[in-house]
Amino acid sequence: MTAAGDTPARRTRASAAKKAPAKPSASKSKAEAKTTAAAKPAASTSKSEAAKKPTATKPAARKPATKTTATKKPTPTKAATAKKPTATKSAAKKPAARKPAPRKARATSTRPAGTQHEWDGTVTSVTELARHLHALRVEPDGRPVPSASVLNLVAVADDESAHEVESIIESMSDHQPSRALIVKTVGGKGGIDAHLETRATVFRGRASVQVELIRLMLHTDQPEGVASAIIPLLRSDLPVYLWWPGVPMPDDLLYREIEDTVDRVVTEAEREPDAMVALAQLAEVVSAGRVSVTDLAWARLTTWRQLITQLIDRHHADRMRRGSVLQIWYAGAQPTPDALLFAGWFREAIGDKLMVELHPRADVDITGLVEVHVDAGGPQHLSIERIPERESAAVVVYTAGRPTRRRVLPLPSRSRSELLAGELEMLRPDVPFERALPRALEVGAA
Amino acid sequence: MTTASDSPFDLGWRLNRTPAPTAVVVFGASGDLSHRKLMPALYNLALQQLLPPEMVIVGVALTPWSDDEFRTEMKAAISEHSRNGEVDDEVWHGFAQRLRYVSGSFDDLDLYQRLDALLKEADADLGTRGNRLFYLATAPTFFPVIAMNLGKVGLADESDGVYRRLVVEKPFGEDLATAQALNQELSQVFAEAQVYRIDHYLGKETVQNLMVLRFGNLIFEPLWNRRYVDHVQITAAEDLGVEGRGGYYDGAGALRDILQNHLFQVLSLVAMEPPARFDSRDVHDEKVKVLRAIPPVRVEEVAEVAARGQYGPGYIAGVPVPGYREEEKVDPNSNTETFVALKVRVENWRWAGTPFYLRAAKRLPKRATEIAVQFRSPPHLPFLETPVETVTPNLLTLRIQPDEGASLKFVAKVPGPSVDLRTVSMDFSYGSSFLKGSPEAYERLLLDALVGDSTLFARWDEVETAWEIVDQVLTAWAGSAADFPNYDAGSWGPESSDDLMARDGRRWRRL
Repeated sequence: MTAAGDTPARRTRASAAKKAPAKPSASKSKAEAKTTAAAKPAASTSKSEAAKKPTATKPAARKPATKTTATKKPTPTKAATAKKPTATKSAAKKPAARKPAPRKARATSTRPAGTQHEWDGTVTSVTELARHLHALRVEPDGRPVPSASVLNLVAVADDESAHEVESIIESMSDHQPSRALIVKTVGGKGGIDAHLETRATVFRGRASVQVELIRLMLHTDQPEGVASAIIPLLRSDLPVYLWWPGVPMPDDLLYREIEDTVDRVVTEAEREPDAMVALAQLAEVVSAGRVSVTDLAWARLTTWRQLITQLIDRHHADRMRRGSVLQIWYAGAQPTPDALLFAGWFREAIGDKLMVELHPRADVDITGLVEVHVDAGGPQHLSIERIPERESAAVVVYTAGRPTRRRVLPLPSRSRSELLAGELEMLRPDVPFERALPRALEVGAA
Repeated sequence: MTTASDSPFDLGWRLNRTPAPTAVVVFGASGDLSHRKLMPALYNLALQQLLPPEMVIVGVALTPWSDDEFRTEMKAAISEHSRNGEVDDEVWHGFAQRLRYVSGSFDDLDLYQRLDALLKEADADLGTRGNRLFYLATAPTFFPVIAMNLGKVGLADESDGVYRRLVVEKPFGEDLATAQALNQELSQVFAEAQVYRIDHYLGKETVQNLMVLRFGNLIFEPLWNRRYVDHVQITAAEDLGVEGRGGYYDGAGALRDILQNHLFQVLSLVAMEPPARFDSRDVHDEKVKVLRAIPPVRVEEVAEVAARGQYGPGYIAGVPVPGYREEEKVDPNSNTETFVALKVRVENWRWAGTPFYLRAAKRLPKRATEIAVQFRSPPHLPFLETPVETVTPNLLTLRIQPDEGASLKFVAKVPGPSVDLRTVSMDFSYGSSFLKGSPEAYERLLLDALVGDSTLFARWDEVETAWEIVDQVLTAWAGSAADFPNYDAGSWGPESSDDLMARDGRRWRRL
């Protein structure tokens, strides 16, 4: 829920922080605040409402954030779209005339409009950083910017994945109000390069939410200290998710440190070079049992599993338990994590009399699981083949003495950000996943 | 009861229960509801993998279409009205394979014999296993005719362990007597447990969230009674006029069209006692207890507790619009109300003395369906120079449409050396707190009907009791000409409605 004044005009007002730290910190930090008034129209279905509230477009002047000594050029971010205010001489006191949000011209799009504030700089302590963050969240008149928050997301990214991680978080942020921390470590003896970004969105012309993105580069040689930089920046009383784009080594110091502060870990076995090694590592992390773990390869299987549950009923399964064959085709040269997990899940449900065969398919331009055949050890056969570039699968059910049924059934494919977003809606341990994982290793080793 | 797929796999862990194999038969398949809501809802369910693979959807109407013409028509309708936009050709291909069409007149028994033959064929070819869901998306005059004929060809018979369900659209009767007659006719063929009376408000997320909010939180329920709640306002305001539905609307009016069904359903959810379980019987039992606690309005008190209005010409969003009597297919001397307000007393231990005010209207300044729980003022304010009357009491608002969500108003101190109070609002918006888009009400309700969960449908005793409450209002209004039009399009309704509130020292919220 959001603490907010109730006039839409106030909600849309862009504001950089007024309550900057009272004293500029000695000399180490350089800060710059930027404010963007997004010109995207907010959605509305009510014409009369739009007509009634022309005042919402009134430009509001505000001050930029802090007045600290420059030591470092601010990093421009691609998200900043508005031009910096130009009129005045004093860099610290430039009033920025906010671009009026075109409320009257609201279209039917559900893309949120809103305002955005940023801060870049180097700090010596997290307390200092928290102060800058707080400053971005206060209106010129001292009221907090409305915010709705449902979770904290911590992403640990190396240089290669940092950019992608950030863009995925950004693509989710319009709908998942949260605080996201992207953490990177580089060698060094202290100091944090930080980028702070808060975004107030006007959703359907009415409710306002705030999304906060914090990017940290920790100059430290001691990964075991990383959690101490993360904890003070988390929003209290909200679940903490850790997104690890890969699979952590069970004894990874950084991972072990962060693990204790999170409620759920989302890994990506698909980003590791060897699926079996990745799953084995994952199994070790899971069996340590300190935190509930899930993997995006498993999340990707949900639509497949849904299809299977619709096609195989209890009678069919009972027949399979007396002996049956599951054939799986995966794209590429090595079995993919999702193919292995699918096999593991199936074996867990049917039992040891299920034979599993894994075959590569080189002729397809997709990744992961491609095709599945289930031979129920009788005059019955089921095949499911994903149709490339489509959201569906060709399903053939053959039963002796009956006409063969061929159908095209939906098999939605999910993007990485959709999968991640789905994981952020769950907190409880995923028991089927935890059971499928050792079975997947068993199948893969055979 | 459970007809959902009997799966050996781990349902509930991300995997959804899907309905058992079935045939869905839509009567009135060439009509507006089928185009705008039902087919898009079925398609969207398919997209989400929520329909059984073994399924056939049969359209029935008078229009002489072939199967392919029906498919083409529905594809265009889905592309236009689905929340997911244009259809995906591949998914459509799979979906279209399951579409059939039967043309004929609803009172012709031959139609039902052909339908029966087609459904048996689908059982053999598509594996639909004898289950049938009949959806009556026709004019209400056909409801009994169709039910009767389905019975005659044995399509209502559940004896072989299969299910046969009848989904009935609104309006369910025009008053108490016609509703009872309709129910009597349907019940000759279908048992109450087979009948699913649609009230699409119940399929809306906020309406369901009302129960979660009340019974999933601790902080609201202790305050949810006469001691802390001053009154409750439930508003269904539309800025639209009758938009081509003049023919139907002129015979119905706001009381029958919205208040008697939708608003009483919402009221019963707001006021009911906590059910022991969130299942169909417990929830219906609690709802009907609330409705029974409302004394039916007597003829002599109609003028005091009810207000009616009809809009004249005016402006909506700056554009001039005609008055109701100038609308298409509306009688130029029409006595039909486009605005209704009603004060309702729930006479039970929890609510005695806390009135519920309901209003439903067309051509108000904006579209908004909201429930507002107005709490009482604090008994005493310790802040000097701040009289109790100057403080706005707490208000909990639940928005059902257009943007689903909730907000709570409370008082806070204005920063500064003196104690000045100001009302602020905590706001929760569905769209921005959850990633998922809300499903259309019809998707949820169709799925529930398919899995046999009638929690979100109206049971007969609820419908009957709601009619009992307003029956004499209908009688009183039918027997006296009103001084219509009595409010301008784009205004907040007639004076009599404000007077109704003023008599109690209250006023309507400005939405």
